[in-house]
Amino acid sequence: MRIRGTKKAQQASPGASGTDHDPLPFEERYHHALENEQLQNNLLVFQRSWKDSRAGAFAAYAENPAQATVPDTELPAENLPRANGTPEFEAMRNRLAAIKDEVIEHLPSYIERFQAEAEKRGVHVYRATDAEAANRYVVELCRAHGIGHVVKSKTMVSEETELNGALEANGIEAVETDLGEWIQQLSHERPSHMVMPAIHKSRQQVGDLFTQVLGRPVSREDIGEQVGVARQELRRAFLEAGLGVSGANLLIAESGTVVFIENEGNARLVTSLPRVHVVFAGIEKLVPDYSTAMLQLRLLARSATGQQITSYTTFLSGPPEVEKEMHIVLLDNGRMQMRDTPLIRDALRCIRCAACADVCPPYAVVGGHVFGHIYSGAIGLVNTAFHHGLDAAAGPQGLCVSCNACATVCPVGIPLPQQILQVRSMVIEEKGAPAPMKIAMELWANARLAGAAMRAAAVASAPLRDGQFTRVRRVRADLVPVVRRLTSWRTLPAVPTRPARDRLRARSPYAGPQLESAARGLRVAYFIQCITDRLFPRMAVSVVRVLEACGVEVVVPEEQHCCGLPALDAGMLAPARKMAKQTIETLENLKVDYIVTGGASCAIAILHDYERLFEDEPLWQVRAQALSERVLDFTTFMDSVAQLRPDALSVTNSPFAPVTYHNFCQSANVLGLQDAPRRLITEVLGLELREMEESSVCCGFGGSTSITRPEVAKHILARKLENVRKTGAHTVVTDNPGCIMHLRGGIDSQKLPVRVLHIAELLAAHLGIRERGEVL
Amino acid sequence: MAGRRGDKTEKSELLGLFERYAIAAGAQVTFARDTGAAATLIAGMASGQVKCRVEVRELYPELYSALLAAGLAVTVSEDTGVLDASRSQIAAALAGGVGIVAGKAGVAETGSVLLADDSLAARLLSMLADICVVILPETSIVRDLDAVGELIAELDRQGHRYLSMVTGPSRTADIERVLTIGVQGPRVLHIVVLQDKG
Repeated sequence: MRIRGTKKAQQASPGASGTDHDPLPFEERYHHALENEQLQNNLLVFQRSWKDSRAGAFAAYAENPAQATVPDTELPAENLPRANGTPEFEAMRNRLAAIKDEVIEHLPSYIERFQAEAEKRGVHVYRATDAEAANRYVVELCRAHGIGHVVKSKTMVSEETELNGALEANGIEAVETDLGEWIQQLSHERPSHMVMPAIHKSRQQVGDLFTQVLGRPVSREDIGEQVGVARQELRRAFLEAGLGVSGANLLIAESGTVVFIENEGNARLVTSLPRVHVVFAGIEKLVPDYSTAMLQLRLLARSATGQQITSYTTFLSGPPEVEKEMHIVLLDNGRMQMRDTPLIRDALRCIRCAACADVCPPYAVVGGHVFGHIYSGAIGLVNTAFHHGLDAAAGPQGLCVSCNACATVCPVGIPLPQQILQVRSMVIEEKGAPAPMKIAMELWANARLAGAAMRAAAVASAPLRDGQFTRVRRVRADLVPVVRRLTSWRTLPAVPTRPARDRLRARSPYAGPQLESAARGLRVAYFIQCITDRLFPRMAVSVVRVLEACGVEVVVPEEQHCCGLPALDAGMLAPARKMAKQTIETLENLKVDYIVTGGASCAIAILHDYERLFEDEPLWQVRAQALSERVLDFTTFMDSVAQLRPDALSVTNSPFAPVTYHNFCQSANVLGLQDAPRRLITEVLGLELREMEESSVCCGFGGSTSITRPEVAKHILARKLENVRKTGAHTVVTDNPGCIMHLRGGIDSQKLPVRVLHIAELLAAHLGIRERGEVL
Repeated sequence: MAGRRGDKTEKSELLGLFERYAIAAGAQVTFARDTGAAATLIAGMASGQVKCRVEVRELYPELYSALLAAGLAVTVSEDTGVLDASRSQIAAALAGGVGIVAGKAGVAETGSVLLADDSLAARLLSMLADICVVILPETSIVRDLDAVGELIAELDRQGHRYLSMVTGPSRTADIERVLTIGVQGPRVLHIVVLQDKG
């Protein structure tokens, strides 16, 4: 056909991932994407509008008088992530997750049932073990029927198998008929998003593409005209094709029914006009019955596009007319292996809504051609390893910032951040860690060596120290590319000569004002957290001071070091386990009521990650579980244990007001800490809180991401600082030392008149003002 | 008696919800007292000719006669499939204009109509027409997706193979997430709800 893309079109899109057969190497794609400001603008606008649409769609469902009541799930899936959304969203999610788990458990029998029912209705069912077998089936079918033209409606599974390439290699022309997919095909790009394949492109880019490919002028501004062009061109393709390939959103086992949803109507045409129809579907698409299908439809449309339902939902149970021939290719391609991998198995619940991409901060920076392989978004960082191998999965691993936003919107509750860390560790195990990272983590895992190294760093960096910061420009270290890459946009913190532990050991008995607190008389062990200990000792002193003002007896265990999170986050499980065990041993036998840390991320590691870390060591799992019962982050302790009275720490004319709150992403997404810190700020401290937009969106620190992918960290930080700036607040308050290091570095680098404080520092500062009328 | 009144309230609630959500999805909804009113409405949209499914003629003979009486040339979609017409010839015969189909059910929860499109002509009529008119008896409106799911399962057991829930006109938001109506299928979905005389 005349409308196929040309070589010229391919050259016109340098950010593209190449053709089906020839994607650019990951690092090249990464750097192209970073240079593509248009892409970043498009994706940020998209993510912001999607968020509102989704929220609106679930809110509308909550108010819908015809809303079905979701029955309580008898077998709720275990350990589902915290849900972001209405109670209806959470109830439907829990139910669908539980049903899908049951299907995955008995997958072979569900496949048998589906196949038998479909065959009974006259469908040819082919079970393909891998991509090649699936593609070969279609090629042979075309040969047998003498078919040279194929039309396709959207099927990610055919992207997974790279069917178009296989057809073209055999002289068969395939035309994508979904508008977004067609735009991508003409651009020689893969879809950059599972639901909106061309979401990274602007109307101007689409207009230019159409003009170039069609050889006649098409408007750069009028989307209606562009859509009209597609309608006209694609009608011809439908009429020419001898075979249609569609996907499936669901396979209903009880009736052998294929369900597909769409808005355009092209899938209805693809499955109607050509005489032969082939469905491409992954075996994870099975559901038991119609009632589950309806539940999934409710979740899918709202999660994918923010619609109540899509324009067309088709239930196809066999060839609808006698002359029609229908085939279903059921693809394994690594899915059974996922099923056999305990920590990955839940990923088979995926219903391909792409919500995980729509809330992902790094996705907004680099887009789906980089954040993922063929499947993009968080799920792409997981399933790529099984469908396309560890090589394909390796590149994007470091992009995830572990903010957990994806897990909260996933309509089947897949623990995506944990699975990404799992794949990250599989990549490290297979390929080894980069040498500097390996050396750093092995050194860090040894508490004594780590302490000595940080003291040495303090001495070595002393000439560069400038208050809280280390200024590498003083020795022109910024001329070294690797240093520039890491520090040109954020100033590094100073390394103090006396770590927090030394200061706390030498502290005098607390003599400040005593607060009326429900924690009076409790004994608490303080887990300092490594960044706090080595870089921000004032934060540690503040935590202890506030706890003591609450009448708490604070002990600071001498042997404590690091919870292991930095190594876990880097995918290096051996040093992570070593540090986690050391932490458990140090803390588990203390005679205390609580173990409190000002590092919210450490609390989360102990509470949520240790269980997985010790998956194969049940005794340590039990010890971690016992420990976690006494571990609290500082904010939760202050809000729910200390329970200070309103205005307990308010001061007139606070030098910090007005403040804004950066809701550390994991605190919000994993612990659900949203109201507690705000209560401390507005009620206990009596401060004016100016909410920033996207307060719980990651600041870009992202643990190892800020070191391995500093460009991504820089872009996400810019988004955060823009939101901070718009509030006009004088102080950013948060509860995680990593965020504080990142925000302080960025704010210093941009010379913004804003200070960043840990919430403990703010409480301690007000305590100081109350005590002596001065700032601590 | 009380029970019957309850049914009536329930029915009018469902009708109200159906109308509300169908309109929200971009469909047009008209309530017709009888088939004569429906025919007048359709004649107003069409320029002299319409296409309809054989089902319409069978289920609503009065409507069919009323369309003819209104001076419309009526093509029955299934008739285009005879005499060895190729699939693309059928498509050419059915593309554009006003296409009338019979809805199996309406769904109050979503404002959707359920079509049983078991022949090529049936599917092409509802896909290739510029204006798709769905005749829907008000008694066929069910409350929610679960109820229509049960109906679909039953229709499957009866041998129906191609069942589509249609909610509003064809649309896309693939370019910049800007909503555009009528990308591949009909630009207008007009649901004519036939009121129950009983």
